[in-house]
Amino acid sequence: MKLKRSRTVEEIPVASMADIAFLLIIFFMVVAIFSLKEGLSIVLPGLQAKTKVVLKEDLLTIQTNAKGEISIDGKKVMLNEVKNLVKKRFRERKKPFVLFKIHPKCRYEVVVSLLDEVRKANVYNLCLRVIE
Amino acid sequence: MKRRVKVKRFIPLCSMADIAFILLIFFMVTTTLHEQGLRVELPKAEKTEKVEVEEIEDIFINSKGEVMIDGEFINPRDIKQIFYQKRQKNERFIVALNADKNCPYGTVSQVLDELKLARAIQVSFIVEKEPQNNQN
Repeated sequence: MKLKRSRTVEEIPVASMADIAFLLIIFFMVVAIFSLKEGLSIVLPGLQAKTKVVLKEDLLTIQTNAKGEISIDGKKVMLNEVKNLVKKRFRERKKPFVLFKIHPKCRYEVVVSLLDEVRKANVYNLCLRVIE
Repeated sequence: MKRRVKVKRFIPLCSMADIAFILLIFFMVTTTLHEQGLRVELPKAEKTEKVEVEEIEDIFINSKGEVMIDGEFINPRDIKQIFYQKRQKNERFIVALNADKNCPYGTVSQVLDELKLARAIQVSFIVEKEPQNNQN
């Protein structure tokens, strides 16, 4: 006796393929949104920028040497003290101004951390100068 | 008397997968295109602003102080020329400065001076965001 073989056609389900693809699309879209960058934005002075006159009481000078050591108005300080010192200094001043004197061999990380600390003290008027 | 022929209408779902895959390839390509550049170790900061990716021009500086723009190493003195040309195509852009945390500040300052000359004055020091500590 011969057995009758039932013939079934095997195929890959194509209908769900669209769902898979759309899920992947959503994933890549979300990843693209997360690739937003974070930065400390500054506006450079233009070529015709006028020289600003700043009162002595409104000006604070922060200096760094080649090793990345920080000094404020000639006194050596640690990085984590900078914010409070700047805040204390400018407690009653409305237009505070910070002048950075940076050694060209100073590491970039130190400069960024300093900028961040000064921003935390709500001072946004800065001058970045390179001094050996 | 006319007899109406009944036609079953349906949306062809077979082609949906193709459409989806084309979109998928598009998104994959656009996300990888942004990655062009040098691998740098960014410094960390807390008080940062978001920078829109569509309107930025990237500059990469590695730990040795080598400068890369559009995938090519360049002499920092050429930045003025390059950005002057870029500015003629698009007036509004922000320069994203991706500098390694160990690079000397002298190089960064040189780049900033050149950007000033090219009148590209909107600059952002790209950093790695640290969670903000609200203690005063």
